[in-house]
Amino acid sequence: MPNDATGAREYVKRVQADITEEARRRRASNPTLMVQEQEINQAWTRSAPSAAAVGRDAVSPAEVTEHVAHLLGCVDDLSLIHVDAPVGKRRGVRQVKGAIRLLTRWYLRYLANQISAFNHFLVDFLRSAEQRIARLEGDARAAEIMGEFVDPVPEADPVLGRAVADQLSECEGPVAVLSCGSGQIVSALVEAGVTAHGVDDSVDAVSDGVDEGLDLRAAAPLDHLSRIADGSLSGVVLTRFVERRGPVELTTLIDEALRCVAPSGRIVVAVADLGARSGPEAELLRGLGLSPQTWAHLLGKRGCVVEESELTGARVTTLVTARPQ
Amino acid sequence: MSRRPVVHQFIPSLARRDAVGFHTFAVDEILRGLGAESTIYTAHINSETKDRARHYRQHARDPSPDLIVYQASIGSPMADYVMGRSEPLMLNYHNMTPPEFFYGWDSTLGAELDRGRRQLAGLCHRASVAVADSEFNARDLAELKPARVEVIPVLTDDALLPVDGPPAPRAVRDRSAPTVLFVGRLAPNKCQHDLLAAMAVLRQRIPGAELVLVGSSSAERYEQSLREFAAELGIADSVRFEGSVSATDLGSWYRSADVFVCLSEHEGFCVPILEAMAWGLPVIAFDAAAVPDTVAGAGVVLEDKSAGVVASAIERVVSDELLRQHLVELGSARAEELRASVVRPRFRDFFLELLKSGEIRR
Repeated sequence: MPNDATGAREYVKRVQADITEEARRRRASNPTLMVQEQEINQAWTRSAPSAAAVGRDAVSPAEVTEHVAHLLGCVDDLSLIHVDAPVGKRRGVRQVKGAIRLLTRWYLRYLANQISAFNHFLVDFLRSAEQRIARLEGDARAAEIMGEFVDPVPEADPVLGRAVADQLSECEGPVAVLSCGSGQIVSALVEAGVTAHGVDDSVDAVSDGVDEGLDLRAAAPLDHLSRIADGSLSGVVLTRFVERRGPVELTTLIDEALRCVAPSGRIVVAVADLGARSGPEAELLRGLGLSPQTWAHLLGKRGCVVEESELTGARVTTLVTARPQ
Repeated sequence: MSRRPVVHQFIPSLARRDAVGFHTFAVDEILRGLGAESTIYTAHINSETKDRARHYRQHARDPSPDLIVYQASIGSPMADYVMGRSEPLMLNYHNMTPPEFFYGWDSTLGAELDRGRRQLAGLCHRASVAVADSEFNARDLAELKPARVEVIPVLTDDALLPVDGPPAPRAVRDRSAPTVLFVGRLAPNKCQHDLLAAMAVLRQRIPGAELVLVGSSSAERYEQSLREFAAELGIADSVRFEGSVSATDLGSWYRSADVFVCLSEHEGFCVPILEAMAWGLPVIAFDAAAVPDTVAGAGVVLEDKSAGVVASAIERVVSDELLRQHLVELGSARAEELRASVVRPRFRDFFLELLKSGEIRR
């Protein structure tokens, strides 16, 4: 077997060399191949963001050398003393001039690295500043910190899935279920013949549902809505995560949901009984989530016709359904 | 009677289906097998992991361990916390993608990787021993001058490999319609765009060729550009973006594909290459980062990945039966060398020695 393996490795090595040689032959015999490769590279440059293209170019050592040479030429043009000014005929003097030029080249490269490090620092700094600003927003901080100390909101149960499907069974266009977990509500909607997809920021929950053939996507619910075109959904279902958000974020969410829903569409909010919270959960989640009455008030203030329906046998006790007018 | 050693593992993000996540669980089992009290700490607890791990902010209240193991693959505030601890530290390095790959696509992730690279220097300075999962990663670490570096491959999930050993070499089912497979996140360092470029040339020679990309997106903008690129090249109908798939579906793709092609420019190990080899799939890979170490001569390694060269390589692997047979046999042997069942004893011996030695506090 060792001999067989050695023979096999040698054969693979020969093939590697053959492949390179064959590609060279093809290029030589068929100049259009090289042109095609260039066109493909150009097409990718058009698809890629400019910063990415620059970033990739910058890591190629040959092109770095080329860029530095170009930069050196620009510096020569700006210099008050021409680079080829006579400095004397002695050989040593010319060598010193050459060494200075090499040092200048090295210094330009050093400057470029410093600028790169500064840019990295700047991106990092801006990112951490953005995070601090987010933390200064009280409800974001409460949701982030307090959520760590209490259990996650449970997945939807079959009763809730069926109730939501009943509310949206007449929807003809797509329905988005926000904070879908592993997809119980999406599954109930699909069974009712509604085109539905779910969004959740837990990749693990989403993968479970995806394994069962559901259209679930891993994303932050509000971010997902912000990328949907105006009036392109016939329904939006707000569940689970709305119990852990404060009034500021929830009003933004309502506005986004109304923007995405077609005039004939519906928004359904699954509301749990906040009064049923007890112990640490009651204290730590104070101020997060809204009661059915407040949801109805906010949606009504935005011109929706609102209905509330009670659920029995489920953790979620009320469905608030809104139709834009 | 001496008390049981206490070991705490830290990992920025823990998921069973992620290679580093699986490795962390496997190390946890090894430590428990050695009689240690082992606990995993992470920055993100979810429903899958909440019973197996604790949030790292709880760590300060827990009894001090004899050893901390840090699983490094990305920047995290957790690394700063670990560096501030006084217990002996072991660094398990799985590589960090250089940030420049991501700056144009996702500057947040780029900054995170940049931060991770800077944290790595601090972790190396603090660690009394480091384990790298490839020679490439060991060289990467050596620049940061850690006290000691060992190379032990990552513990892979044998459940993703064929149960009955490697399948026998098989011919391409339909030479006029071969399936080219790559498994890995859609990420700029994995260069799926180079695969699309190669497919554009290959499709002119073999019109029925199909490319399957399995893996979730790590930069949404990159995925969008890939789709646009495929459309512009006129090959959108022959490229399948499968996203994240279940273990069963992954096995089906490895079984049904005809060749596995990896054109990544940066990989710390590249577990899918091993999986492909274990499933009896010939491998073609670009000579970059840890990839040649992982392939170890059991695949076709290309120094040039221009579209024409890659297309020629695929064409050759599809049509040359002897080459396929050699690649499958060499690949199966290589995959066997790196199976978790083979690597696990190496980790076990390493920890056994570490727990007995004076490198940790007892």
